[in-house]
Amino acid sequence: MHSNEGDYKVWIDLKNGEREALEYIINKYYSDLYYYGIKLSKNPEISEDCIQDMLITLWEKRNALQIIYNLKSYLFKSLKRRVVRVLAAEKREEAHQENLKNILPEFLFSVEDKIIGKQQTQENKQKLISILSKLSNRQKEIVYLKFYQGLNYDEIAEVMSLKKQSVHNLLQEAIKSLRKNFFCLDRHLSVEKLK
Amino acid sequence: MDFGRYTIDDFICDETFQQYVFHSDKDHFDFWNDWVERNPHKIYEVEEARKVLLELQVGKRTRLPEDHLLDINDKINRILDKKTNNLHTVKRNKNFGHLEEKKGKVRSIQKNIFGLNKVAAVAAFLVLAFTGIFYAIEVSRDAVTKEELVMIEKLVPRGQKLTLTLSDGSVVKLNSESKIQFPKTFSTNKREVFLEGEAYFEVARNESNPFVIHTGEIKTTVLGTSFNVRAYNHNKVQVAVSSGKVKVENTKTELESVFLSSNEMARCANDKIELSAFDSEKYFGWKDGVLVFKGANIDEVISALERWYDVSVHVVDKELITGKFEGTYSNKSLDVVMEGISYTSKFTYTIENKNLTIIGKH
Repeated sequence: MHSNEGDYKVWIDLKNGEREALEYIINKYYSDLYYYGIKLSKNPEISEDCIQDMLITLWEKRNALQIIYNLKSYLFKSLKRRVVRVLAAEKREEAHQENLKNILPEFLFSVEDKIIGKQQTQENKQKLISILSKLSNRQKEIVYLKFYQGLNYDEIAEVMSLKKQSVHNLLQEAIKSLRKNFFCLDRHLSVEKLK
Repeated sequence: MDFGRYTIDDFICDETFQQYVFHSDKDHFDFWNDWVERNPHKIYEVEEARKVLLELQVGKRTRLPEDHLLDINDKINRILDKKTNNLHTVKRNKNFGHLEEKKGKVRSIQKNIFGLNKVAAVAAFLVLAFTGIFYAIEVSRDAVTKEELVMIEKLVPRGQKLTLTLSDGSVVKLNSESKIQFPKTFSTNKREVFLEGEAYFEVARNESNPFVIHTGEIKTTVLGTSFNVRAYNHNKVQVAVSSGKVKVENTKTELESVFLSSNEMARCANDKIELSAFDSEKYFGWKDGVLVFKGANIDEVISALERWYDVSVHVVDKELITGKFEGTYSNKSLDVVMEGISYTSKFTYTIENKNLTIIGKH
């Protein structure tokens, strides 16, 4: 099943060598990819270069392309792989080290992420950000992909190479600690109101 | 799934529940809306979950400026063009070694063809034929880009109506005092029009290319259907659907979006979107030349008459005219309409040229 008819048509167009397919992808997904790339690499240039290379490869290798069921998660996953590759190469050059476990820098939230409801005061925003920052890197990425990028669990699982159930469990733990640390005050208030 | 045992965290993490809270899927919205109503004992958990989700809900995702995206597009196209041209130049040098073409110059030569004289054009023709396919692609793409830029604006004054057929075959009926802007030719991945006033759309079905109507901050997206958009005042937009499925959203808040099916309408005002049923004669009558009043007050009657007959209406002692008006007039003159609505009401009227005077009486 295709998540989106337009995306399915783009895949067909791409196969048929229609350059407009790339225009469509840029128009629809470039912004989201760009910000995700920055989140991963902390570097706008790396993000831009990786997306550019990815799109050019997508075009050049279109004949060998397998069917893409979900264009958005395909692009996100492909970008992530490229960012990891670029950062790994940089690290290797810098330190000649083989230990590449922590290639990606820490996932950070900021006020610009707008990951926070509109009614929030500046103070609450900061508080929410600091609580989000205490989550594990994977949890942060899930929260980001879910609530900022609007991906569903299947898509997040695909992008992060996790099982759907793991995505669900990791998010549930994240929500639990979020509610404990941030919403506990409010909860007392609303319990008061109910009484 | 036993939702009755759900904890707050279970609700928050349930994807269909998220869609309910964010109004992003009509079926799930309907399901949870109904479930919440039938399970009042879970109201505390549901409300807590809703609160947390709304705090985490993103506003509008940041989008890079349009010209930035165009630049990226150009850059990638240039890289791909260069790669293709290099490939061809190499090939040609092999076959026609005497033609000393530098890499990457192919395109500039193609562009000069029309500037050359007739003799040169014959010689140049060989080059054209050689790279003919690429040239043809270039030309058609340029043509499309330029066509897209040509926006057509149609303005319908009071007292008139207009039926238009758009480049994709969609038909638009514009009501009086309305304005629509649309590209001469729709692009291949979006069909967008901008409306002020009221119009009835019969959208040609094309699932891969959604049809979007912009009315101020309200955006109506449709895949192929018939419906009516009333947006004389951008702070109060109404969308009524006669067939098919339509999505209405507020681009400013983006939290508010609803899906409409046949015989449903959305009323958008004050950043809120309300769903309801509607009387199809009242909303669709105008497109068939039927002026309809159903429970209208005097102000609504006046603005309808001004629009429909292009008259100026003056009212004396308006506060005396309090009742609601009913009536259906199919292609009738102003005299006939006024006779009809004044029959049971407390007013008299005079018509002189384009001036209608209504006088309330005790």
